[in-house]
Amino acid sequence: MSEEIMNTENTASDTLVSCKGLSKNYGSKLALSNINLDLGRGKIIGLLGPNGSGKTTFIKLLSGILTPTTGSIEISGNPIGIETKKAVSYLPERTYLNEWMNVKQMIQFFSDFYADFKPDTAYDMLKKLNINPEDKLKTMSKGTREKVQLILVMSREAELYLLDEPIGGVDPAARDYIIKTIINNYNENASVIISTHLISDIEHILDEVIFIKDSNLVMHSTVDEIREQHGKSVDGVFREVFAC
Amino acid sequence: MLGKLIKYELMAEWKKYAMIFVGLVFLALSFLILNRGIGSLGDFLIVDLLSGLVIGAFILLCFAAFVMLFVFTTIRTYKNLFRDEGYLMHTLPVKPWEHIASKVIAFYVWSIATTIVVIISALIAIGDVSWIPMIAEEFKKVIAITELSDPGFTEFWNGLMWYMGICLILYPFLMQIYINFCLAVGSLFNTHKLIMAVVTFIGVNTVSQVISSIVMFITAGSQMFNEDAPAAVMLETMSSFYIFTAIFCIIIYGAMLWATNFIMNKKLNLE
Repeated sequence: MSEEIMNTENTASDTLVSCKGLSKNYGSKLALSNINLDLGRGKIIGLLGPNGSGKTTFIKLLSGILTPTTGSIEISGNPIGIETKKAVSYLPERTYLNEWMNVKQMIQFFSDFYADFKPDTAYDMLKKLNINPEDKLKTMSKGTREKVQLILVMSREAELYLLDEPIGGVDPAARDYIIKTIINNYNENASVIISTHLISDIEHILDEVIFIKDSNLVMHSTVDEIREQHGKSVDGVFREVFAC
Repeated sequence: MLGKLIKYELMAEWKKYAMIFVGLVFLALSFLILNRGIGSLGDFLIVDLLSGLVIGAFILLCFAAFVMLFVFTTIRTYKNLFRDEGYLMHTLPVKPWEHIASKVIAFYVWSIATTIVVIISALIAIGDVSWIPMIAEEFKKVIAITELSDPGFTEFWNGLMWYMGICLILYPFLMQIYINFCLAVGSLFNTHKLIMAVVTFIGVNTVSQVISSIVMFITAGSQMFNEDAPAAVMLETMSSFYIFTAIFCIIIYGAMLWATNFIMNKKLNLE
């Protein structure tokens, strides 16, 4: 892929995420290799790549769930730690909710720990999705739990939202609602990083895309640049880059 | 934030402990009614049989209550910090030591609660506390006999009481630090994390037992098995042992705390 579209320019002041020489190994297996990347604010960024390419590892590194083997990450100028955890709202690809709680208790949990959490927003979204706040999490279907998780994550006024496969496990009707929720709940100072395989479903909301292949960053570009330079949709370029 | 973490730790487990506590009190009351109530009316084989079964179940549950303390806390810590729930817990804006402290404090609370409920339910089951002062008297007599032979034994017994008391108070704290450490070490492995945690538990336990035995042998030396040793010698031997135990505990549990905090802070490996 051409070098000229490897970077979208961000000035120091609007840089939200900065990765320098970022690598991660699982034992002898390389999961991410020498990622150098700056991401700005007010953007919805698609993190795209085939299974096992390193997308989830990258998101986990940003959230602080994993520690890098080499290199560094800064979010809003801070290394990964308490300050970045205050600023990052993370939706993992698995269910992380405490199963002994009901939804209401989970909302209280988020209110207790995150100063930027808005319970009213969460209750409003629950109502729209017909989810009873009194329902126990362990009695819910996997899809409903994923919706609750997304509601909790998007009810924060965070600076960076990390969404790992947010639409993978839900029905197409709920997908639309989730995409609308993502668009409506982030502000111009925040950015959203979405990892997904379902590119065509989210392509219309993306500002930028990051392609990761075999642990390497192969493209970071705006969606407009891709369309302009390749004359194709992001989905089309993805199929070209990752053709088997 | 620590207070909030403790609140959720206690909320997460209270139902399990409540079931055990209710079970203990229920069995104790059942035994009391069968033994002292119905049993006092006459000699009934079925009542004797039931009493035997109930007191057997009660004793089993007393032991199970303490075993379950470790089972519950190990499962809770593993699931909450090193499995899926860890994805939430480790992204909370709290320091790793606060996670560790909340687990240690919650375990301490449940240990004290379990001990109190077991003692109270045992007293209910027996239904007679008049034997307690008698036991205390007998114990005092034994101490008095040794003091008669050598007044120096007063200090020896006092030291032993203090040592056992401090051990009992600190034991739940140290046990939870130990469990946290083993689970944290297990989490460093890419596969078989729980098995590696168990291996760590056995490994550390074996090494510390060997070191303790060696040092005890060195400090006690030839006096270890000498029943006729004078009080002054016994006291000196025990003092050396107390000092060693205190230093050993500070070093080993301090190292475990530091290592757990380090792993959760710098080497977290939630895959």
